[in-house]
Amino acid sequence: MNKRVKSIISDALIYIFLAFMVIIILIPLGWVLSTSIKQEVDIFAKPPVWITDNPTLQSYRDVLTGSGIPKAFLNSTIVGFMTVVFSLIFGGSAGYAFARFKFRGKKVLSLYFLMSQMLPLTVLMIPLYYMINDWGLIDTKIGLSIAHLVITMPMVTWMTKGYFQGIPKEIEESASVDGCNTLQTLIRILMPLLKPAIATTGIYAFVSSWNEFALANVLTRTDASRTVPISLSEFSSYFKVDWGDTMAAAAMITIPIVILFMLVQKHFVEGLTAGAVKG
Amino acid sequence: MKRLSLSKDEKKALIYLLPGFIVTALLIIYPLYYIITMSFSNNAINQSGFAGIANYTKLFKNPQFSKAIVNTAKFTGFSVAGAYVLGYILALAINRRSIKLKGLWRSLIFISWIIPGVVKATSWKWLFRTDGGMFNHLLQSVGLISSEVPWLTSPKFAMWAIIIVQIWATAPYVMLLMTAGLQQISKELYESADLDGAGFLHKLKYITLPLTKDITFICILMLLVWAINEFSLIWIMTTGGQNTSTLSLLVYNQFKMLNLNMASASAVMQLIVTMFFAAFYVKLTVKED
Repeated sequence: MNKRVKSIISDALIYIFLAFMVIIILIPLGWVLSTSIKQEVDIFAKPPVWITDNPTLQSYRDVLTGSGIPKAFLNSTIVGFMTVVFSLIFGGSAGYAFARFKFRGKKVLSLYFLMSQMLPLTVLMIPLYYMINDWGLIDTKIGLSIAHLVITMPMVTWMTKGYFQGIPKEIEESASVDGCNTLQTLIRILMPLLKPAIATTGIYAFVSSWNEFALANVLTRTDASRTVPISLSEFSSYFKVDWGDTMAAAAMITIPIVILFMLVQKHFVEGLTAGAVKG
Repeated sequence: MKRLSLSKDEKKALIYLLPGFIVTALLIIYPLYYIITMSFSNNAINQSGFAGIANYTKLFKNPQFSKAIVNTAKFTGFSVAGAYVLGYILALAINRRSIKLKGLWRSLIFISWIIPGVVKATSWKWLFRTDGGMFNHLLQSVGLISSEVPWLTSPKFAMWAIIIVQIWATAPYVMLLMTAGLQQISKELYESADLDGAGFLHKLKYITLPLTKDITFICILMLLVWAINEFSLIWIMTTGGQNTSTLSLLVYNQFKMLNLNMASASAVMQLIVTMFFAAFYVKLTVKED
């Protein structure tokens, strides 16, 4: 009996701890939402209040009609989409080669793809700026999405390599007996099998591009290519910050990401931990 | 000529690998070559005039550089230790057999990891405000501080504020990875330890910690590399002021001032530091392949 009581008490303590941690995790986002629906006079109330008596959607209206955010949304979507397409084609086929073929230099090349995921963007930023400038692609969406391949290519290669390795070779062999060549097998047999995995990889690449700040900060200049992180950071760098509008914009750019994440959560978590727990 | 002949597999691999390799060679290998050349040039902008190690000796004498090293070490050390300990405790809590709704707890905690970096930085900047900011208000109402702390506007506190945010942002990643690690441990080990009357700490010391050693290394190396390379969080909260300039911020701010000799030399230093830890990571990850 004593043991049961003890275990009930420790369970209760753990629930309290977890609830407390969840509250801490959610405080910043909660404060963003709380501020975003306040009237200007309530935003600087002392002491601050969590729930306003006079909620308003004015900040959201301001952001939608009078800021660079809607254009930035469009830019981010286009840049993200281009990045995903390029990196799935190039990175996906490289991942396939790593998973299926024996070749000299395989080890060195796979180390290279793994290491490149850890390169500091501030280091690559300087040469990339001058290169993209030479190509005349500063402040263009295509220029930024080329730069984002630096992040997504190694990641997609590494992720798809793992997914392809998960499919038994026999499936492909029987397809080749039936007269499919490698490319046909890849497209007709493997792709349908890997649909959820490819979707996850694509979404992961999209989110990385959507969230990326350092490169976008030096490669974009105007509304022609500015993405959401840059547009948001400009809200809070003005001399006088309109915190209501800033928080409304922050809420608006976070929501699509949270939804995308919830959609792929299961596969995403598997992908993230697969490499690490294999031993 | 024999060495150049390719097997059937190699021919196919070449076709599938080549496009991706060319893209990354152009966007990763070439820029690395570019920045290294810059760092050895008298005139970094057009890479002219071999300067030997002059840019580096100048950099090592610059107090901004030594400060950036100290700041990077402080930011990285404390944030990685904090995130690891907190994340591990969360994983242990969620992994306890009798705890219900494991998936829900995990998703809720994971939120601070997935929100965009700029939103993390901006929302905390707003929380850390003085003159009625929410963070100070919360700390005051539970009695932890008596008067407002100027979190982001004082060189005494700014780095600690940023460390808090980095821990908040990365502990969920540790939680996730360690949960996966804990699930690999066979339940029978705990059952037989229970039969021997082993307590929680005993089991932690002799079963849990040793059996999560490999994944711990991987996790910590990942956190180290991310912390060394962190840019947007610090830049948005302080732009590297108030004694928060880490290597990333030094590189960026020197680049912005078109001080390219110093920017490129410090970039190469950051590259060396990062690749040192990345090499360990790679060694551990590729081991099983």
